[in-house]
Amino acid sequence: MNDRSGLRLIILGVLVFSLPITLLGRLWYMQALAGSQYVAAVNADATSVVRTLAPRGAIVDDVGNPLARNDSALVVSALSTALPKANLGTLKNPIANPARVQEMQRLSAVLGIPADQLDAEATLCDYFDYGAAAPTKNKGCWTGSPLQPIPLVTIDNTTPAGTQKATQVALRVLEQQELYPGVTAQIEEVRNYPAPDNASAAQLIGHVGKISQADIDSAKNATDAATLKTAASIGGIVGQEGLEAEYNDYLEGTLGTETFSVTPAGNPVSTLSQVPAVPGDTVVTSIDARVQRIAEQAIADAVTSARTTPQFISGKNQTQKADAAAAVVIDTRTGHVIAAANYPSYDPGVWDGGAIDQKVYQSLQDNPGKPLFSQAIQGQYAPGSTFKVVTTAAALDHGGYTPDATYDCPATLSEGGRTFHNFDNEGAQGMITFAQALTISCDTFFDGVGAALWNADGQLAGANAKELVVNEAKQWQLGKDTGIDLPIDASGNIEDRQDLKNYDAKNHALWCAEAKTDKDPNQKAIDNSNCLYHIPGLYQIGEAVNVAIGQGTTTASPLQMADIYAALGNGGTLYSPRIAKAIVGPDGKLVQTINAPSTKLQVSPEVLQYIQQALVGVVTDPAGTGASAFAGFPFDQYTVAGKTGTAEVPPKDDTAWFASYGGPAGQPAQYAVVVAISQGGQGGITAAPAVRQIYDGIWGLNGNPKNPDDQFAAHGPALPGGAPPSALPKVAQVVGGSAAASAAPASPGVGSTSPSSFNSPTASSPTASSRAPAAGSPAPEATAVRPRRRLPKRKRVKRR
Amino acid sequence: MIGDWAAPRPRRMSSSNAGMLARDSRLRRSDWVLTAAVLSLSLIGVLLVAAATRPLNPTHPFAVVEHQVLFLAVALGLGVAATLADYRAIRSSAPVIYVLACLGLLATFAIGSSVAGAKAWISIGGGLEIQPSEFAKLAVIVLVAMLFSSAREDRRDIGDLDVLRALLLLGFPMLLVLLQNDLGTMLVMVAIVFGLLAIGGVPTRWMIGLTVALFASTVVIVKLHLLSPYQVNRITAYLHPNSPSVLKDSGFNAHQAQLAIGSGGLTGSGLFHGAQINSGAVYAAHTDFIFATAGEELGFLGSALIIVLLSVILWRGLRIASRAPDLFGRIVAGGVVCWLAFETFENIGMNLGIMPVTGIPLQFVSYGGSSLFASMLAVGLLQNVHIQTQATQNSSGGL
Repeated sequence: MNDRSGLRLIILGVLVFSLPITLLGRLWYMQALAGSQYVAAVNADATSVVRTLAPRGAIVDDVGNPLARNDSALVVSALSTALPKANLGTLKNPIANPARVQEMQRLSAVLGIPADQLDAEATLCDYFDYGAAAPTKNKGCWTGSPLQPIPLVTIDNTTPAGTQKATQVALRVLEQQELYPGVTAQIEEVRNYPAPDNASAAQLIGHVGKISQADIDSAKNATDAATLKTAASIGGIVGQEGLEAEYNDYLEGTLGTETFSVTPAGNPVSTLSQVPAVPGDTVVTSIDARVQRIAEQAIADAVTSARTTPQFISGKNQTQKADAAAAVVIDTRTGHVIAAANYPSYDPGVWDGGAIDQKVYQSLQDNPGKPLFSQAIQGQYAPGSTFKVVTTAAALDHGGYTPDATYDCPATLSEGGRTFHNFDNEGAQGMITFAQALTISCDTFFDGVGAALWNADGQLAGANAKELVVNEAKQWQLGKDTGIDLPIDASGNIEDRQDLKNYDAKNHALWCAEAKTDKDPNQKAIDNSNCLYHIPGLYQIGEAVNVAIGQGTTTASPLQMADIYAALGNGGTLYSPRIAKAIVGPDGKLVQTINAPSTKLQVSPEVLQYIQQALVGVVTDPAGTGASAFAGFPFDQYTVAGKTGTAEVPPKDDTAWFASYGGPAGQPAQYAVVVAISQGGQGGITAAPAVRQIYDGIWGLNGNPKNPDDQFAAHGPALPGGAPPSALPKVAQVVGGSAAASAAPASPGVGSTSPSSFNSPTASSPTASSRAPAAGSPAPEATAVRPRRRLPKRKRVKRR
Repeated sequence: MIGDWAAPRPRRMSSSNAGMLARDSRLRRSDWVLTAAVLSLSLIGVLLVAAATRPLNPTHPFAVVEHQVLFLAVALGLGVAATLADYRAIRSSAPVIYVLACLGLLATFAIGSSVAGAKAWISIGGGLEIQPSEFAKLAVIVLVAMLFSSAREDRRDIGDLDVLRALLLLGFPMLLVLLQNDLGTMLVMVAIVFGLLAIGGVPTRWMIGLTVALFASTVVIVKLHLLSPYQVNRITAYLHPNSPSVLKDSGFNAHQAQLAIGSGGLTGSGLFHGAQINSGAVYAAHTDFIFATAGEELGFLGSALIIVLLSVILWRGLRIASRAPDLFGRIVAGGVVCWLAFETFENIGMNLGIMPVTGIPLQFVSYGGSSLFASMLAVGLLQNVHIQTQATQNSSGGL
């Protein structure tokens, strides 16, 4: 052989042996020198943490009927990593994967959702293969973890139709997995509002929704924000209104943590550690579903009656518009809310665990009666004559008036150049006591008191004015939030000279400016007047007279009036009302008892007793404004005391009020019941019968002349024994660790997915005759809602 | 150098006429160090395939390794056949082997199936597939050895025409491999061709020219984006192993392989006890990334042993090349050494993160019939040349 070949063989030999030597060097470095770094990296790399949602706690009424609970639903979800790849081409030239396209079309046929929508929802937001088409292709994409199954649709499993559909879908998706790779169907928990006894209470319970960025931004602290963010990434929900929002911290429970070892594709191999989710606490409320239902029915009947039965007002016999109404029932001994009814209301079930239908939501928003708005808590109306108890207390305790003396009740009263008429131009009643004035509700009597106090305060100048009536009202917490345990509240309005002065200073320039631009002549006149009259020309005698009879700028919510009448009934304890009675842990143990804080009415015992007697007269004295409504009422068994109110709020029809308290005869009051009906006409005609209907229901009384066949009264007392249950209901233990965010997607059909298990027994609403939840009914079970459609953005702010 | 390679050897006929007894003695004259190294590697391979595939199928944990044992038995038979084959017959059948290999490559375009982006496989039923390009490497080696040794027998030196003819003939199967998208095999073939030309005694200006041409074409390929995205991803992954897009694709697997190897330490986790391997963190842990299995479960001691055994094979191959009785034998042995050296370096290198990821197996160790068959045939060729050397020595010495 020639030398060239031999030499080259030697060179080749050197080159060839350099290769394994290089490998050995690298191997030594990796395994001997840097081995510990790789071990550390392995431990960090090969695991993946998946958070699991906690079952949300239930909200139950005073006997344990669930107002909000979790029901099972079939959730069809997709695992992005197990679906056929979307793009078979390159970024520049994408080629849709026919396997994926066909699977989405099949799925679309089964679920009834457009294939494009399914495809986008099943796509990770950071999936980069779409290239330029990403903005459209990724619309509605999944922001969560690739390890998390992406919920595509939730099928209610509680109705027969829902169960049938769920079974069909599950059969097709699970039995033909080869046609639906990466798609699973699982039974999961969704939030449900079963409306026991057909009681809506929608405005109290509130609802849940998908966690929004606004929810995360408004979290109390960084830890909460981080938790919300994590929960949001796995389809978590948050309370967005009512009790669901107020007690969200208790209801939401604690997220679970599962640590998996995973393959590079993200498929879990085995569970390394598991900290189960801790189910949320149950909120036990003082709401009684039956009383709530009775109250809702009572105001609905009252509205119907006002709209159909003409009332003789201002010389005309006419029906009323009656556009909204509220009823509040409070336990006078604890300050807890037993019922807070709204008219119009709606079925809280429409929230559907946060997946409310957009059309339904829009119709709720567009409804002129504002069913989403709580008239009972947020509604602010002129309290009218129900306010006269405040004027009475102020006059008797501080104004130099005496209970036994009589004062004039003329047909008209002229003061400071103005003439004030009695209600509905009733004639003069002569000289009467405060008690008689309350009983027959003489306006000119209290007009006179207001005018006299105004004069005593120095008229317009008002130097060193005592402002007895307004200060009394403020001491009774009018003009302030009630502090109720809801995200909503209302303060109402009560004004004296200084308040008006402050108000004027703040707005005077605006009124003057608007007076020039106003198109509406009425508004222009008002703004002109506001611009012209300056302090001290503001607090005219008319203001003082109006305040004395609960009109003018004075407003209060039905809840505020219920608080006041509860205080009158219980001897002077004014509560900041509470809806929740207790928080019960998932183990059934009491976490916290919730008591209503209270203040004392600064009313002398004699005057309080005097007012109480006068209020009894309203319903028992034949001349009393509430007597006709309570005709035939068994006053030998039960005492009811109250006050009608007919607030004139032109140009609208009058607001009808009846504020009351009642209890067993000879004992302190047990309940305060207040009904207010916007544009309902006269309190004695429209509101008082509704209040009686509520008492009849609570105590199981027949004989309401307006409604002798009262369906609730016929079923016996709503609150047996005449009092709300003092003991907490037994709250079913919550089954924890429901794999709401199951992270074993590699094996489809994990858990209860055999079609037969879809027909699991569901809770039938306890009927009116059974007081406690039926045994075995899944009261507060597990949760984990996967709301599908994004809810419209809603603020969680206190509303006034 | 031993003997005169150009001289005719009339005694070959008589030795092959000796029948079965002679065949037996031929086997006995094979290179036993080489045989021992190859057998050791193959057995380690069987164990590693078992370790890497057991977790994949809990119901039939050793289904894959049973296949591998079967492949190994067939491969050993092929190796023995190549060892015993007539030296001259191999040389004279080189054109036939070449044509068959090219036909096999062409067949992949008609009836081929695709694995990881490369359409390089032909299904032969029973779930088995063969990769014609593995055998094309052998064909290329034998063909060039035949061409150049014939040229040297006719004239004094290898001329430009010989080189051009060889390049044309080599270019065809390489083009087919390139069209299969099988970049790994293509690179191995380039390495083989360089080795063959160098040992064949091609003029130095050709060697320099071809090196320059190779660099130039690489630049052109990169600049004109002639590679498909998955190839670019794989090749460039090792340059930036932690970028998210790379981690999502092939670089992620190389990363996992390195984690497995690095966590193996000096002694490893023990066979069947690799956490990374058992969790399925490393794809293709029984084929292209089997060295990661060795790294994690056998540690430095076990994986270094694999490299040492491969080095022993290379050493014996070079020794056989240097002692070859003629240019044909030298080119064949040298070509096989180049093939083995580059392919094993590329494979282990990609496992260790110092070479780009291309889809080529670790010879003798990785699961797979085609690679094992072709590798054993190559070892058989080395043995054949070795025996031919012995025979020449013996006959020269005996006379």
